[in-house]
Amino acid sequence: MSKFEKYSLTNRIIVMKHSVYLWKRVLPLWLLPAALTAQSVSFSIKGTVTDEQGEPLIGAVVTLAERRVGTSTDTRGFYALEGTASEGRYTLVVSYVGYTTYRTAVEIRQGQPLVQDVALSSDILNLDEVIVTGNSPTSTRKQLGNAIGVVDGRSLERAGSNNTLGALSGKVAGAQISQNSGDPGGGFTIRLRGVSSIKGSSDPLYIVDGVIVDNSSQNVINRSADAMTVGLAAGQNRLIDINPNDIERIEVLNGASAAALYGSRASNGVVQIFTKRGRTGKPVIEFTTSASLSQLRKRVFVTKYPKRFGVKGNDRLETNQDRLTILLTLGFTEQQLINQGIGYVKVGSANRILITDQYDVTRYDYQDHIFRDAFGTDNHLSVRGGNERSNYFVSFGYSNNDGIIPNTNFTRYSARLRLNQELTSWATLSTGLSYARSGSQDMPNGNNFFNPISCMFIIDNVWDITERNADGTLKQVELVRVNPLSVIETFDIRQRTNRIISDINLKLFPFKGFRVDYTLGLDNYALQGNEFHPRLPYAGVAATFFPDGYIGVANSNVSQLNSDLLLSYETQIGEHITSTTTAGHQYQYGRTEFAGVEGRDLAPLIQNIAGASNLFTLPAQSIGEFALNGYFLQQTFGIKEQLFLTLAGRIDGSSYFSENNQNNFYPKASLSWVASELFRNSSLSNAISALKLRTSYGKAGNLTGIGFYDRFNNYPGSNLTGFPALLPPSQLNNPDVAPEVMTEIEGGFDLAVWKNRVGLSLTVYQQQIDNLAINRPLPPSIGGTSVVTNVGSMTNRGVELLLNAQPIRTSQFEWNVGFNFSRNVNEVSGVTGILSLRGSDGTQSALNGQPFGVFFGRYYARNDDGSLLLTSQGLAQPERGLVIPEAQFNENNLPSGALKDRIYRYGGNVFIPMRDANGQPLTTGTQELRKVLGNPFPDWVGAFITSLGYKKLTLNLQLDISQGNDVYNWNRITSNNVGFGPLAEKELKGEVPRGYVASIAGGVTGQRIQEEHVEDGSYVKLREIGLTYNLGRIGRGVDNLSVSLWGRNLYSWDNYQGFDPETNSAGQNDRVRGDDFGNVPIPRTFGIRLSGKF
Amino acid sequence: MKKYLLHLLCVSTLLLVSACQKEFLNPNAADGSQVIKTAEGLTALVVGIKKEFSVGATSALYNAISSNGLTTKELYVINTGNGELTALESGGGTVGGNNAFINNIWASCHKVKANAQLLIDNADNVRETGTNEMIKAYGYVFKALAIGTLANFWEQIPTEVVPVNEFLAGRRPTFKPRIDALREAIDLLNAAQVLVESTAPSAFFNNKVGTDIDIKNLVYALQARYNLMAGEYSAALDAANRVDLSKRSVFRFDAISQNPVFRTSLVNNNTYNGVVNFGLPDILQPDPADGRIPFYLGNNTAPVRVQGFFKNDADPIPLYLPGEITLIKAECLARLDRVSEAIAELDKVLTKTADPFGVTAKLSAYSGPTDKDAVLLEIYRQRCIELYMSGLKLEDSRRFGRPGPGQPGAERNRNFYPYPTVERDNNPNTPPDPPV
Repeated sequence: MSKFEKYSLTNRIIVMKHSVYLWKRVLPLWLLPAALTAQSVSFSIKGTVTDEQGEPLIGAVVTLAERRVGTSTDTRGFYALEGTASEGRYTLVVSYVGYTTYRTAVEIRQGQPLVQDVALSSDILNLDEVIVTGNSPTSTRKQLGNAIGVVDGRSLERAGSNNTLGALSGKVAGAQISQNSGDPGGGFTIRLRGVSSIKGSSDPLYIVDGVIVDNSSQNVINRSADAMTVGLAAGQNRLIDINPNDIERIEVLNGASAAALYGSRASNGVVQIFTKRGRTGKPVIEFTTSASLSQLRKRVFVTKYPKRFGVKGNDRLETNQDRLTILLTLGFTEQQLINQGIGYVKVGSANRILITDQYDVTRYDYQDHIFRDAFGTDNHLSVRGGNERSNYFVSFGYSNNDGIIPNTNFTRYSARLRLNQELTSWATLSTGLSYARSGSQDMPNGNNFFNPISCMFIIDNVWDITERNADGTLKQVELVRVNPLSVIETFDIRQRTNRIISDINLKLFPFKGFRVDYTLGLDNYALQGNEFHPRLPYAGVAATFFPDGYIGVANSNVSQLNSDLLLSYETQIGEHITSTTTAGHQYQYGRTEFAGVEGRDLAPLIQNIAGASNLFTLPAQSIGEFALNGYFLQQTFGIKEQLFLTLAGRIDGSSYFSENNQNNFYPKASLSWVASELFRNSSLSNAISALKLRTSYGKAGNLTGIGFYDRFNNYPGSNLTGFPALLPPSQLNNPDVAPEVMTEIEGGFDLAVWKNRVGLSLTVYQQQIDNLAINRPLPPSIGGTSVVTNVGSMTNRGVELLLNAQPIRTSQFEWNVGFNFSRNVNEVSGVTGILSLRGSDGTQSALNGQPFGVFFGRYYARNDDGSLLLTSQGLAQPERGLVIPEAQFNENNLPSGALKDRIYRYGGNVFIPMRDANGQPLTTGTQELRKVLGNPFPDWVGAFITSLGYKKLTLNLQLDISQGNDVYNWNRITSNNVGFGPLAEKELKGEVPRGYVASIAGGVTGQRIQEEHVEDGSYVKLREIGLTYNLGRIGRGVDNLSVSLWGRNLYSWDNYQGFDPETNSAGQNDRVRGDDFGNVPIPRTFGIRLSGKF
Repeated sequence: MKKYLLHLLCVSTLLLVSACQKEFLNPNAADGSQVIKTAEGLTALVVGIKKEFSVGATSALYNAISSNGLTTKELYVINTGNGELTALESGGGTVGGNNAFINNIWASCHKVKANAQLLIDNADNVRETGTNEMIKAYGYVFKALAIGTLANFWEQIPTEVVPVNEFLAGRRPTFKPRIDALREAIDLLNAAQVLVESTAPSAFFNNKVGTDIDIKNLVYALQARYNLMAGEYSAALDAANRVDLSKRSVFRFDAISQNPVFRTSLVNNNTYNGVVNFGLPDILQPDPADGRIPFYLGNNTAPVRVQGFFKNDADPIPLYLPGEITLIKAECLARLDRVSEAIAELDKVLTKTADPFGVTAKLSAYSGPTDKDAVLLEIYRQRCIELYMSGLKLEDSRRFGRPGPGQPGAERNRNFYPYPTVERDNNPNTPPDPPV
C-alpha cells in the first residue's frame, strides 16, 4: 500500500465521523456539503503522460478525483489541469484505456504550480476500468465477479457500419451478433449467451447514458406484403437511430449474474452505451467524413441452358401454360396431350402429368438488373470543450447510404448535446439531448412474392424483364407474377423516424464517501411508414400482389421513461476492509401506440389513402402500456484491495404481472479475488502480471415473456358487414401467469502474463430459465389454440474465451492480436409435443431436449449406406413410418417392415421408419416422418482481430467466425421449382429423371422434402479491414489528420449456395432464425475515410 | 415537463412509491368476463362467432369448402408449391395431421362450439324477450353447425366444452362417434326450434346482428341435413318439409370481411380452381345443357374459373340452398322406398327455372330408370352439381357408397381425415387415425 493511500485512509475516517454527525443531527439538511465554506485558491498541474516506452499517450484522461475536474492529453501527451480548489491534499488520477490507472497524491497550495509526469503501464485485463452497474459508476473491473465486455468507441467508428450493433459484431465475447438484412438500414440481432425466452424477446436491455432505450423492430411498411402469411418481415432495429460516431464506449453485461440489479427486464443481458462528453480546455473540433461503395458480394447460380419443358403458349410465354413448366402441366388434359402428340410422363404416386418435350428459350440473369453499385457517405462533426466548472460536447452527423437494390436508401441526421455543469463543489448536473431523424426508402421485404429478389426467384429466367411497351411501361413476365423491375421502378415505400432521447442527471456529493445520483431518462420516437404501389400496367397478376394498386399508412409512437434514484456510500471498516453500499429505486413507464390503415384499387394520380377505393381491412390500432417499480440494495466489501464480495437484491412490481405474482425478487452474489496481489512483489510476478479469479450468481427476469395484457381474456373488436363484433380469441387467458426468471451462475479467471503483453480471460456459465412462458398449444377442441403458461424451462451453458496479446511493441512497430470464442449450448424442456414457431410449412420449432428454434421437418428416405432411396421412377421421396407415444412403444414387438436401427425419439414420441415388401417406404397406415434437420444457431462464434502499426501506418483486420449454424434456404428450392436452379438444370439436361424437382417440391411422392432446404451456414467472414495513414499535424490548423481505406464484409469463406449464410428474412424475430427467402444479401463495402481535429 | 417534475416529487418520497404502481386495462380488446354480461356484449359475440366461422383464410367455411373440394375432386391445385393444398389433392397418406387446412376446420369449428356455449349459458343475463331467446337460439344453431361440419370430416368428435381452467387442472375433452355427435347437434337444433317458433327476434337483436340469417328456416334446414346424415330419414323429411324454400340464409361479406373462397384462393389464380364438369366421373357427367354449368363453372373449359358464390369479395355464401332441401326430401323419400314421390322432388330440381340464389338447372324431368338405386344415383349426381363447393360432398360420397380411395374409379381420396396433430399431442383421448 502506498504512502498516499495510508494518508487518505485516515482522512477518510475523519470525514466519515463528520458525516455520521451530519446524518444523525441535521438529516433534513444532508444535502449540504461538508466543506462549503473552505477557502478556494487557483491551481495548475501540468505534465506529460507516456507509456512504458516513453511514447506519448494521446487522449489520456487526467482528473483531480476529489474535485471531479479533468482534462485530457494532447497529441504530445501533454496536459494542463487548472482551476480553483481549497488548499490541501488531492488525488490526481490518470487513466487510459488499456493501461493501469495511475493515482498519486498532490498537494495544492496557493501560488505553487505543480508538474507531474506520468508513465502508465499497460493493463491488458483492464482491471482498473470503472464499470457502471445499476447506473452507478462505483465499481472497477477487479471488484466484479462476472465477465463484462467493454468496447471502445474508436473501434466502432472504424467498423464502417451505421448500426451500433453492426459495429459491435465480433468484438464482444459471449455475444452472437448477426445482420439479418443487407438493406442499408437493415436490422441486426444480438444474443448474449443465447436465447432465453420462447414467447418473449431475447433482445438485451439497452441503456444509453442512463436512459433505457427502445430497440424494437416495427413494421410500419410491408404490412400486407406477406404472401407466406407468417407475419415475418426483415425491418430496421431502432438502435439504428443512434450514431456510432457519438459513442465513447459500450459495456456489455452478458447475463443475469451481472445484470440482476436491472431486474425484470435484464435476463437477456444489458448493453450500456456511453456517449462522448466534453472536456476542459479550448474547443476541439473533430470531423470524420467517409465515402463508400457497396455491391453484391456473391451471385447465386442461374442456369443458362437454352431449353425449357413444355409447349409454348405464345411468343412471350405469357399464357397459363407457360407457367411452372418444370413442376406442372397447365392448360392441357391428358387427352389433349395425346391428341396433339406432345410427349409426357406420369410421375409419382399422384400420377402427375409432366410434359417431356422441350423448346428453345433465351435465358437471362436478373441479378444484372436488380442489383447495382451503391454509394454512401457518412459525416460527423463534433465540438467539445469547457472550463473547470462546465463542459460540453456537441455533434452533428449525416449519413446517406444507398442500397444495392435501386431506389433503396437509408439517411440519418443526428444531433447530440451533452452539458456538464458543476453547480457547487458538491453537486453536478449533466444533461444530454439527442435528436435523430432516420429515413429510408425501402422495397417490399422478403417472405412475400413481390420483393424484387423474391420476384426473381418465383419466375423462370426466360423473360427479358427490361422489355417495354411503346409508352415506356414494363411488359408482363410470367402470368400471375410481378416483373421485379416494376417493383423497383414504381413502388414508393418509405419510413421516417423522429426520435429524441434525453436525460437529466444530478449528482450530489454531500459528504465524503456518500453520493446521490438521480437520472431521469426519456426516449420518445414517432415512426411513420408510407407505402404506395401504383396499378400494374399488365393483367393477370395475382390479387395478393395488389395489381390494382396499394396504399398503406402506419405510425408507431413509442415513449419510455425511467427514473433512477441511487444512493451510495463508500467507507472503510478497520484497516483492510472497504465497504460500498448502494441503494436505489427505479420507476419505468412505457407506452406504445400503433395505428395503420391500408387500401387498394387506387384512383389515378393520388398517393394518399384517400385514393384507395377499397379499404380491404379494418384500420388497426393497438396500445400497450406498462409501469414498473423496482427497489434495490447492493453491498460490496473489499478486503485488502484483493478480495471483493458483493451481495445485492432487487424487488420489482409491475403492471405486467398478475395479482398472484405481484412482486419478484432478484438476488445476486459475486466474489472476486485478485490473486496476483498475493505475490505482487515476489519473483512470480515476473511471470504472471495479474491473476483474478471470479464467480457470481444472480437472477433476473424477462417480463416481455408475458404480453401487456395476457392476464385478461381478450375479445378483440371488429365488425362484420357493419355489425359490431367481438371476436372469439385463439389465445385463452391464464390469470396465474408469472414472469420468467433466469438464474445464472458463472465463474472464470483473468490472467495477464509476459509483462502484461498477453491477457487471457475464461468464463464458464450456466443459465437456468424457469417459469418459461409458453404459448402452450391447446387441443383445439378446448375452443382456443393456445394459453400462456409457465410450464417451460430452458438452459444455456457455455464458455467464453478472450485472448489479447501485444507480441510487438516498439516505438516504431506495434502488433496487437485478439481472439474471442463463445460457445453456447441451449436446451428446451417443458414443451408439450412439437411447438411450431413459424407456420406456413416452415420448420423452426421448439421441442424438449433440443436447442430452441431447430429446423424440424420431413426428410429424404435413404438406403442404409446413406444414399437416397428413390422410387421406381428414380424420384426422391420423404421417409415414412409410424409415430407412437413412448408409453405404447414396445421394442420387442415391432410391426413388420420397421427399420429397427433407425428408430428415434422426440417430444415423447417414438418415430419408426417403415418399409414395404419392395423395400420402399410403406405408404399405408403411415405418415411422413419428421426429424431435426438443423439448427440456425451456431455451435460457436468467434472473432480474430489484429492490428499492425508501423510508424504512421496502421493495418487492422477482423475475421468473424460462425460455425455450425444452418440456414433454411427457400430461394434455392424456389429457383428449382420455377426452372432456373441447379437441380432444374440437371432435369432439363436429363441428368435426373423428369419429375425429380417436383418430387422434392411436393405433391408427387409426398409432401415437400424439407431437408433439401437446410444448408450448412458456417462462415468465416472478412468483416473489417482497414489501412490508416496518420498524417499528424498539417499546417497550423488541422491536427491528427488521418486517411483510411476500409472494407467491410469483403469476403466470406462458406459453402452456402445462397447469397450469404448470415441472413434472416424473418428479420429480428426472436423465434424464427435462419430463414432465407427473398432477403437482401449483405453487400461488400469499400470506403475511404478522412478524419482530423482542429 | 410538468408531469415529470411531478414524477420527480413522487420518487423522492422514496419509500412511499407504491403510489406509483399502476394497473392498466386493455384498450385493444374486451375482457371476456364483461362480454357475457350485457345484451350488447352477447350480440357482438354472436356476430364475432359468425365472423369466426365464415371470414378469412382460417375460417371453418373456407377450409371446409377447400378441403372437401380437393378430397372429392371438385377442385384442382394450380400451383403445387402450395404444399398443403397439394397434399389434400393427392389424398391418402399425404394428408397428415399437421395439414393446415384440416387443422383450420377443426380449430375454427371448436372455437365456434365453445363460444356458442357461452351464448347458451349466459343468454339469461339478458332479460328482453326476443333478444334472450335469439342469443340462445344462435348459440344452439352455431354449436350444431360446428359439430355437424366436423362430422363431415372426422369419425369421432369431442363435442363437450371444457373450460381452459379445467384443462389446466388436467381435464381433457373426450370424443364421441360422429353419429352420436350428429344426434347431439340435432338435439341442439330441436331446442332451438322451440325458441324460434315461440319468439320472433327483437328489433334490438336484428339491429345488432342483422337479418342475413332467417333463423327459423335455418334451424329446419340444418335439422334436415343432420338427420339425413344420421340416417333419420323420416325426421329429415319432416324438417325439410318445414323449410320455406323462398327464404334465404347467407353469410354476408364486404370489402373488409371478404368472401373467403374468392379472396383467399380463386382471385389469385394460383392456388386452386374448379375442374371441368364439376370433376365428375364419366357415368355422372352433367347434361351439357345444364344451366348450373355456366352458373358454377363459367365456360367450363380448362382451366375453369369458378363462378357461383365466389366471384367477388362481397358475394354472399348461402348456409344452405333450397335445392339441398328439395334433394334431401327426394333422398329421404327414395330411402324410405317412396320412389315415385322421390322422383317428383328430383324433378323440381332438374326443371327448376327460378331460385332465390339463381341455381337453376332448366333441364327436362327425370327420364331414367325408376328403380331405387338408379334414382338415388341421380339424386347423388344432382347433389354433386346443385351443391357444388358447398363442403358437403365428402359426406355425400360416403353416404351414397361411391368408390373410395384404393377402389377402381375412386371419387374421393380419403374417407375421413386424420385427427390434427396438435389435438393428439395435447389430448390423450384422441382416437387412432382412420387408415384412409
